[in-house]
Amino acid sequence: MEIRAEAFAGMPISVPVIDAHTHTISSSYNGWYQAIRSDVEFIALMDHLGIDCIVTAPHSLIGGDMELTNGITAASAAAYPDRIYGYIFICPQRGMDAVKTAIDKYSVNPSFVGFKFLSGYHGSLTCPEYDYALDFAAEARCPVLCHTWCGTPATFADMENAVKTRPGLKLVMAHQGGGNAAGTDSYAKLMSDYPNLYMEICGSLYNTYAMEDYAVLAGEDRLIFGSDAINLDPRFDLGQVIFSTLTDEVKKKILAGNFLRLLEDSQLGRVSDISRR
Amino acid sequence: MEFKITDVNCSLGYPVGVRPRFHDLNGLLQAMDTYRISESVAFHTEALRDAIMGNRLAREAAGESVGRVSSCYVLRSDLGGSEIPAQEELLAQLRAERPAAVRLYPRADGYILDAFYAGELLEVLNELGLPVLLDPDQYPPYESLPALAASFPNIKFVLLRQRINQTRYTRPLVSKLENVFFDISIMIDTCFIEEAISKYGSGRFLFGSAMPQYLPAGALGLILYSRISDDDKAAILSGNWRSVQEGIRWK
Repeated sequence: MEIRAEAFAGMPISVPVIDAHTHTISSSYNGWYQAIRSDVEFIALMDHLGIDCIVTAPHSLIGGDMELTNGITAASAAAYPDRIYGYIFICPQRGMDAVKTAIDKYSVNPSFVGFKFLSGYHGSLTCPEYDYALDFAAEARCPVLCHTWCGTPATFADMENAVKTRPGLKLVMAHQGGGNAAGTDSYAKLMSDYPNLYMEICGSLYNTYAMEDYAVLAGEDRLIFGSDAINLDPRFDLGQVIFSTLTDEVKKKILAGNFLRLLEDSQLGRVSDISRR
Repeated sequence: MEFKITDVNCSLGYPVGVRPRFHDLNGLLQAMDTYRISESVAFHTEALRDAIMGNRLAREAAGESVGRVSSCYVLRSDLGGSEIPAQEELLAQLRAERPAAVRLYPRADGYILDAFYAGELLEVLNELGLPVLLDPDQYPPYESLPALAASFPNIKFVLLRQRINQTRYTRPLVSKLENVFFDISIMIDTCFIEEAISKYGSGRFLFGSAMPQYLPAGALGLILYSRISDDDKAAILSGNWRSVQEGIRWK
C-alpha cells in the first residue's frame, strides 16, 4: 500500500519513521499545552502513527540545565531502548567546564546520537562553548540539530560560519530554516553553497511552502523529518509529509533515510536497525 | 473508512503580496481532488477591495462548480453606504443569493465587531443565522468574544486557524459557548483535540485548509490520525458544517 493511501486510512505508516526533533516531558512555557505528559503516552502515540523511534532533548532544555536534561534523556532511552534516543544538550550559559563535562559523560552513552542546541535562547551560535561542541561534533561526524526561528536567534551568518570552517560538520537547522517562506528561501540559498547543511521540517504551520517545495529547495536528500513533539502535535508535520504528493521513495528519505545516512560514519551512538518493515 | 471532507477556508483570486498556488475555480477543484475534498467554502479576494464585485465573482464560481464550491461573502459594517445596502435590502439580497457564510475583517476594515459599531450588520446575520468566518488577525479580543456571542446567539462565529498556545482561551470558549466554532487546521497543541473532544464533544470543530496559501496535508494528519471515533472524525471533516448550514434561516 502506498504511504498516501495508508495516511488517508489513518493507518500507522509502514515504512521506517524517525522523528529527529522531539522534546519529551511537558512544558507550559509561553502558553504551550500538551494533553499528554509521559514517555509511555508518547510511545503509545508513536505506535499509533507508525513512528519507530524519536531523537529527543527533553523540555527541561529551555531553562538550560544540561545535567537535568541529559539525565532525563538517558533514563528515557534506558527505559525504552530502540524507541527513544537522545541528543546531547548543550547550554553555553552554564560555562565551558560544564559543557565539557556533559560531552565527556554523554558522548560515550550509545543512546546519544548527536547534539541539540537551543541557540538564541542560550546564546549566539558563535560563542566559545558552542564552538567547542561544534568542533567535537565535526570530529565525531555526528549531527547537530540547531534551533532557529524567523532568522533569529541563529543568524544565517552564524550558520555559515559554523559550516564553512568545519566541512565535516553535519548541521541540521530546525523549523525549515526559520518557520516561514522568507527564512526557508534564505536558508535554502545557504544550503546550495554548503553541502553539510540539512533542513529539518517541524513547526511548518506558518510556512506557506509545502513539502513538495521543501524537497525542491533543500533537495530530497537533505530534508529531515521532525515534529517537535510533544511541544507540538506530531500528526501535523507527519501529515505534511505523508499526505504530500511526493513519491514514496522521496518520503522514505525524508521520514528516516536521510537521518540514518547522517549517522553512518558517526562515532557517537547509532539508531538500531529499523528496516524491519 | 472514507470520509466526506468539507473545507470551510478557501479563497479564489490573488491575495495581496502572495503568489498563490492557484487563483481560479479550476485550480481550486484540482487541489480539492488531490486532497479528496468533496466540497469547499470560498470567498474571492477581490471582495476585500470591493465587496460587490468580489462577492459576485465568488457567487459565479460557486455556480460553475456544480455544487462543489459554496460562496462566502465579504461584508462590512457600514450598511446603507455606497457598498453594502441598508438592512432590509441586505437581508433580501442574502436571502436571494444564499451565500454559505460571511467573512468579516473588522481590524482591516477599521471597525469594531460589536453591537455598537456593527449592530445593523450583526442583526442581519443573526436574523439569518449565517456563520461568520474570522481570520486569526481579525478575531475580536478574547475578552469581548463571550459578550458578542451572547448578543447574537444565532450567528456561528468561526475562528479560522485557531493556533497553538491558545488552549487557555479555546477551552472556556468551547465549554461555555454554543456558537463559537474552531477550524482545527493548526490547532497543534499535542493531543488537545483528542482531549477537548473527550470532554466537550466534537460539535464545535471544523476542517479548513486556507488554500491556496497553505495546503491541507498537515490538517488532514491532525484529524485522520486523531484517536477519536469515526463519527467524531466525520463530524469535524464535514458533518458539523452541514449542521451549521442547516441552521441558516433563509425564510
